[in-house]
Amino acid sequence: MNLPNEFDTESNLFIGLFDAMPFSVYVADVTTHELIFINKKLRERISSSANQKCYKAIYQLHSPCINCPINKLIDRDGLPTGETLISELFNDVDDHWYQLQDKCICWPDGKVAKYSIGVDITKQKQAQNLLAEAHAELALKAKALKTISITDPLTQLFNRLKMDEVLEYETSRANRYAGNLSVILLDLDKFKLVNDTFGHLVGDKVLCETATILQNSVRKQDYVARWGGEEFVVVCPETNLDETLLVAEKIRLALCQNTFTEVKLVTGSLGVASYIPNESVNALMANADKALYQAKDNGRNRVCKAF
Amino acid sequence: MNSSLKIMIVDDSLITIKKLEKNLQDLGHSVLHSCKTGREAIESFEKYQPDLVTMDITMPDMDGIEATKQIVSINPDALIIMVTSHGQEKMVMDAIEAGAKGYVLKPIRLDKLESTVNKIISNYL
Repeated sequence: MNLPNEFDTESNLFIGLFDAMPFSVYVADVTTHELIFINKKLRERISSSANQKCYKAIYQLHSPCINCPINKLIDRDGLPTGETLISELFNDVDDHWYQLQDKCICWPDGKVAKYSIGVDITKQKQAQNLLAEAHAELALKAKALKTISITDPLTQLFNRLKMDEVLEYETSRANRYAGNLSVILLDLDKFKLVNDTFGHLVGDKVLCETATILQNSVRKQDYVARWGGEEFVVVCPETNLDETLLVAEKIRLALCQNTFTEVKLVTGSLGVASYIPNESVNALMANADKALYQAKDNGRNRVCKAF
Repeated sequence: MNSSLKIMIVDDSLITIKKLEKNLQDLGHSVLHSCKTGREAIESFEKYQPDLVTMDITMPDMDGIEATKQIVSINPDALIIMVTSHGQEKMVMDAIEAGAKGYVLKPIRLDKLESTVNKIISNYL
């Protein structure tokens, strides 16, 4: 752990200086990572024998640190670039934070070495870390609020607010890429009768069971939302009218084949419409609505398409 | 819900794994597995189905944010908290966006770890 003898006087001065510093200092060979020098402050922290690898002695690792700065501090020929890198690092061996100043230099014996000065900034980091943790809490709360704002509280499906956003996005995408886009509007048949006969709590249960049936009947890329009351909407991106009719029929069947709690039989009428390039979201939904009323007029429990 | 969780630790430092393991055991939880890379974490999650994962960020072979993203996309109910030395705003936002449910900075303080895990228990389990 000493400098070469021929530099005795200089090296004694050097060692004296570095030992007087209240920071951890070490010098390591850039090719072997072996420690050439460690100052008194660092000697108090680690028990190191000469020629030990820096990553082993200081970080108790078995291979160089992921963020080892050596490659940034030497050029293609392996010579020091002269640059100084400053970084903050947490050392989990002693649970302390250090501000590191790393630079490569030519050592008196001709080796290229990296020196590192580590200033203990644990106390300063404490306040910063508390702030970052509070920041994370805030981000989590914001995310939870965002979820609440786009969720129908009864069925946990998306709500109309989210669907307006989805429809805006999907119609502009369909316009840009001349792609297909279709929607299904579902209205439960004679739902007022369910509420009047069985009460609103049972009616709410029917809505929740319908939500589950919808989610199990659509494809992964489809969006399902409660549009309002007993009306639901499914947005089917990149899907033409015929393909969407299949999805709608699947929903209709699943509904009328399901045994609902207390009510037993519930059916739905469905209207399907496909997006016509450059028309508005309102026009698309109006078409689906017309098809839905067609299904109602034709006797309910059926799927109709918009013309 | 029993409040003793089966936890998986993901950290490339053996020292941190040992410290976390002791901390979590002191809090009454058990550590059923630990792994050292993001990629390993994805495989191990499927195999061990832990109640909770503690996830480091800087790791070889896929970082913890990417691993979190992938685990959550396959298991939307996965509960993952970051235990990391990275406190930069972008890192915090990316981790939460990826689906992390808590954020604990190193050096780990037992009270912060405890309150974070307890919040997970009361909010999600």
